[in-house]
Amino acid sequence: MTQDNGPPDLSQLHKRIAAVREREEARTRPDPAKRAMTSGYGMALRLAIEMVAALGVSVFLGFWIDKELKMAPLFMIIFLILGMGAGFINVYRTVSGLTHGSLRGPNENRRDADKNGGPGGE
Amino acid sequence: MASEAQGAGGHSPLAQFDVTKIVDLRIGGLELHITNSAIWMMVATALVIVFTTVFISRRAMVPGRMQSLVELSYEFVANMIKDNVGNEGRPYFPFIFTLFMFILACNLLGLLPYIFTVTSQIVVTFGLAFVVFIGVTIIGFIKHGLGFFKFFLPHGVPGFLAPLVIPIEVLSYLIRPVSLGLRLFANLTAGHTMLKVFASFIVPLGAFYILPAAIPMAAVIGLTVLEFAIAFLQAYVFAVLSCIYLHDAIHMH
Repeated sequence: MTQDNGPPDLSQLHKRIAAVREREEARTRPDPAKRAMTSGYGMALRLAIEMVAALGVSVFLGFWIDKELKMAPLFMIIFLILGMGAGFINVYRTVSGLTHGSLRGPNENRRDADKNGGPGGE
Repeated sequence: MASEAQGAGGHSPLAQFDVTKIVDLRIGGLELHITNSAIWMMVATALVIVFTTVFISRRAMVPGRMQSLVELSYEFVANMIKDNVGNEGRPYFPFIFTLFMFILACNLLGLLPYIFTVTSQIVVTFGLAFVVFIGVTIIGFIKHGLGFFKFFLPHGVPGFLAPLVIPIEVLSYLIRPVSLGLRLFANLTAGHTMLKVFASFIVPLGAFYILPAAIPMAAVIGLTVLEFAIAFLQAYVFAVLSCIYLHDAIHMH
């Protein structure tokens, strides 16, 4: 696409488009994640699944370690408690829109949870 | 909504999730039967391929309906990656796009009567989720080397809490694929079961009076609309969460 026979101000227009694109890129660079928070029902289901998955995975893991080491209920109990902790952390992160590995205040490192609206906001 | 046709006693609302053998296929000791699940997965894949190649083959400057639908889905996923991963996410566009389109095609196909809902199988959703999980972990290690382990100790945690925080963080990382797969499975299964339960009220009630049968009928119509929304939403959620995990692996926080 060469603009040889275009109007004379086409190159200027190109520059303007580039400038606007630059600004737009800069605006969206902090990658705010549009979190898929929709209805209360969806949110509730999501949090419930988060909790159940946490407990399921950790109890399974503890059970497996117990079976391998033959230390009957010890690791299952340890992993149950850890799993509750992990589950609550995941729930907290889901609700407040934090990334993995951060426990800072809700204003820092925050993904824009509800500013961008639901997934329909495309 | 599927397989009412299969199984004589298929009146249980869960009968629609039965996986049945269509073609017997044994290679060595492996049972590689072609099931209804496999067939509908192939159909979904074929549909996506047709959708993204045939409709766009004209490459019109001013797109027609179908072409603009393809372009819309392309831009939708491209923007999703840009918003959630940033520009570094661009190389992963084909993967996320494939994931999104495949899940969307499976979900939407499953809404048609007599078609098996592939994504209501926990094997399928877990398979997809673990592909994402393993891939993202490998990407994290490639990008950061062993420094990726720092991911498991958040900033600002005092040293004496590390023995407690690290196992919790590792667990919470391991939980992610499970909750990712479980979410898709639970939403689809719950929706389709609910649809079937309400639908099974219609005929018995209608045998006596027309009016009470209208209530579950209206519920089924409403639920069907809701299911279409869920079919789209869950494909979106799966893709977005994959993007977020990718973001975490690339940027670490």
